[in-house]
Amino acid sequence: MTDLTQHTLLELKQGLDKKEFSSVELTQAYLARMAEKRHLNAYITETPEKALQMAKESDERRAKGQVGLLEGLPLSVKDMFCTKGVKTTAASKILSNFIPPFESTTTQHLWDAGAVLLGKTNTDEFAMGSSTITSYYGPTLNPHDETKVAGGSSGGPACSVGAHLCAGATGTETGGSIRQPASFCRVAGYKPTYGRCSRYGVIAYASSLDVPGVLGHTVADCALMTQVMAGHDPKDSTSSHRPVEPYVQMLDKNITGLKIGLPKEYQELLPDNWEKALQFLKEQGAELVDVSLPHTEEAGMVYYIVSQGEATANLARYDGVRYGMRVDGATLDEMYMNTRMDGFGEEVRRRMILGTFFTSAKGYYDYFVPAQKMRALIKQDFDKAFEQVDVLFSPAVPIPPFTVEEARHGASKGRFNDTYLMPSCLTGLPAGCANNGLQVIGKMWDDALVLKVLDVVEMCK
Amino acid sequence: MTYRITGKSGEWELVCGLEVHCQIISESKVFSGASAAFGAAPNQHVAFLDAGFPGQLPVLNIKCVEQCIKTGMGLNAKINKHSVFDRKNYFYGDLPTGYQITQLFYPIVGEGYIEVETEDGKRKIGVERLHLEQDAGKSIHDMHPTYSYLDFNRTGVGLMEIVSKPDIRSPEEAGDYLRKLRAMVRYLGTCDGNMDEGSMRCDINVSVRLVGETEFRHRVEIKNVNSVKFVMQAIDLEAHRQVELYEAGESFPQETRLFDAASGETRSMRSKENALDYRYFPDPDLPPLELTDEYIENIRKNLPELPEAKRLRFIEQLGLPEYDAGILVADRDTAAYFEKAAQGQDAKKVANWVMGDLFAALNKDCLAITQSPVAPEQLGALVGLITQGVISGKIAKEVFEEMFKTGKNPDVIVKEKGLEQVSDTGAIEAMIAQILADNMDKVAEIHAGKDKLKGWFVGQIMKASQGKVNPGLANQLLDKKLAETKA
Repeated sequence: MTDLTQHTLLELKQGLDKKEFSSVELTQAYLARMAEKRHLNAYITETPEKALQMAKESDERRAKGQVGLLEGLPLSVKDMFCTKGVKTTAASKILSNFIPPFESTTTQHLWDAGAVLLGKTNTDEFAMGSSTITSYYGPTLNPHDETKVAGGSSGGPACSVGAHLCAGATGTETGGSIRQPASFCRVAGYKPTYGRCSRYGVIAYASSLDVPGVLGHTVADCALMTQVMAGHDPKDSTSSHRPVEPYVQMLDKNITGLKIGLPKEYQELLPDNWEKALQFLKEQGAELVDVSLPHTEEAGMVYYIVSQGEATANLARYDGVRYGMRVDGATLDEMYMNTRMDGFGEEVRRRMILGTFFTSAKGYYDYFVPAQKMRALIKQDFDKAFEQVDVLFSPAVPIPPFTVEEARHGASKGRFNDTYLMPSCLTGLPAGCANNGLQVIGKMWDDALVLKVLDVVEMCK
Repeated sequence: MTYRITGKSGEWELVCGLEVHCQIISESKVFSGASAAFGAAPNQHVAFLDAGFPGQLPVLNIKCVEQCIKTGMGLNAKINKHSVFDRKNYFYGDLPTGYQITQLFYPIVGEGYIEVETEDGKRKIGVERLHLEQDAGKSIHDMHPTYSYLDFNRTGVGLMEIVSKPDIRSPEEAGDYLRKLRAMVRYLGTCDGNMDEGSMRCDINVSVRLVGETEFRHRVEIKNVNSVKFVMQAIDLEAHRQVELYEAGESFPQETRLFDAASGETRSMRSKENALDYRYFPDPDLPPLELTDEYIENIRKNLPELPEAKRLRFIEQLGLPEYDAGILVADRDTAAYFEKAAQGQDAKKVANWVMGDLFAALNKDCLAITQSPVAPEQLGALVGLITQGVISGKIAKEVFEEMFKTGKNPDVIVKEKGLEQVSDTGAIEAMIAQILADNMDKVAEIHAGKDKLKGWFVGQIMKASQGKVNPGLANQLLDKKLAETKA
């Protein structure tokens, strides 16, 4: 292996197992490349010292025969995950000095499995956006075309994988924030079923939608990281007790007889590889079935009402009183206003104002309650579709990445950016996109099947 | 007497409802693992969640749920198998997350009632609901000229908010409602009921209307009144204030007022126009609480006997008068003390001792009944000595005083001090014969029909025996000896 950074997570795992290189060597290779590609702005905080220390400890464990599932593998972590002793900002000025005294459950699982932390990756501020341009730390560039954005909100994670600045990355998705940047950066991204991965220690944007997930070079890489991160957590009341399946082992490339649904509402704009992919799936023995998800169009509005309403309450705690930044004022209210005016960026403030309106005494009944009803109808669409088919198949984001300028002028709010992603966020369904931009959505808790189909989809180049 | 306020335009009646916050007795807080104990140094019982750290999530403490259900059963209320937690949003220094987790739309306990007793008799005061929520922290504004200090120990401690219907018609009813509620939660061990420590807090809604009116007029809320006495005072005050304003043809706003115990007045805090919009919505971090019949029934089975049931049992099984039973059950510890003391003894006599000498002695030394130097078994034994005729009631008072001082058993004291009643009739008869002989003039008067003088002789006998003669026996032997002198 000449350039250690140019491999998938599973390849590197094999290399380490065969002792072709050490975790310290691998980590050094990534740290060197991170320095070289710093202009992409994938990372907010690099942790080279901690990384080398963790790598050294991993090599020592390996020497003693203690080998975890991710032993010695260097990963990036989105700056929405609290990491003990490592600055965690949510890409916001208001948390620019925040060092968590605790570790998120999912990242703890990674470290327990032997993984190495390379640094904390960039995101839209509080994960609000889909271009990583609302970050207090500036936009993340697309590794394949530096004039374009990496997407978002997991733009940092997607770029860190796409530019080979890590072996794999954690991300979070609320309204498409893993799949959209994965698609833009041509990497694989997976959003597990809501409740599969604990939200404890993940900075909340919209609690009923937030899902910790992963981005990797391949679907198989995603399967391995998900398998490690998943599991019940007594610290998260919405976390499931279901046992975690061995996702990697279940990637048997066999989809013979599987019924794959093609939602007609998701085919308005199709990528070049679409027909080829359908042909390929048929050749693999799958049966393609046309289905309909009639409330697709409404999902965007429902998403904005629900997510902004919840976000307003979730972000109320950033008030300058106990941690984070504070801008003084003559009265308590003035201090709140000064701190939050200076600490939050424009997009976050805009969403909080709207969220305040949506949950006001009047707005609650005019917007929030109807949105929840519509959310139930969207779920019903999926329930009906899944009576006919095992999984759903569609493009993830049928448009190419836009420039930072275009993003600033609202490109990410246009159609198709997240039209095919929002409904599966509102319903908590497992969904992912392969590194060729094609997505699979499954039933609740069918994570193993979704990953397996995605793994086959990925074979179609 | 029915509570009425007389004005120029007629008789006014009070319409009042109470919202009572009861701090739940539990080891840890309702959504975090931090200790819920009272009285620690500031900020010693604070989990990351209580301090509103990012990424922290609430996890429901099932013990608090159980306490709510018990209290709901005490309120004769419907236990809701499905309830939901909501966020109540507002900014304040002692509310770290910027919202309080509470239950607006679907509370854990539905309608119930508390039966109150006043001079007018018994009435049921409806309870609208009981819901589970978190307490806020404490702001301390007087430690620094420009800064406020914050103590988050109380942040996130479980609260039960019990909302009555507007059924209360007099300050006395409000007082009795609170006392009954306090006795009930103490019995159940769900709240310590200490209003002065703030573990039970009361907000009052007051309006008035002319007798005969069926609609409610607009109400004024009075916040955080911290004793039963003040609650009654505040209601009376506010009702009169409103009547005066109506009579003077003045309007007044629907507002929130604060009670000032020092001046005995209420003053405006905020009007309805400035009322906060709390932007309630369901908390997405907590799934709805679903309870099974089995779970609820299991709690019901293990419920301790409630004051009302105990009161009836004291009356029916132990033969206590209603008055005595009412006093003894008002406090769980008193009832427990009494029951232990009355074991195998004359219950009415024991009740008299508890409510009389024991209460007086405890009160004098500022002791709670659980701190009594006289154990319930010892008090029972003392009553036993009286019943058996070993000592007289008068001597018993002396013995009790000694017991209270030393904690010794009554029989020991009686022996040590030689206080046994003289039951040797021969000796008593000799004593009586001597007294009669010394007072033959009075004996003659008795024989002449002046029966009242017998009492004087009994007194002489008691005096001569230092109270050790059983008064019944003394009377009996006196009659016998008098008869002998006649013959």
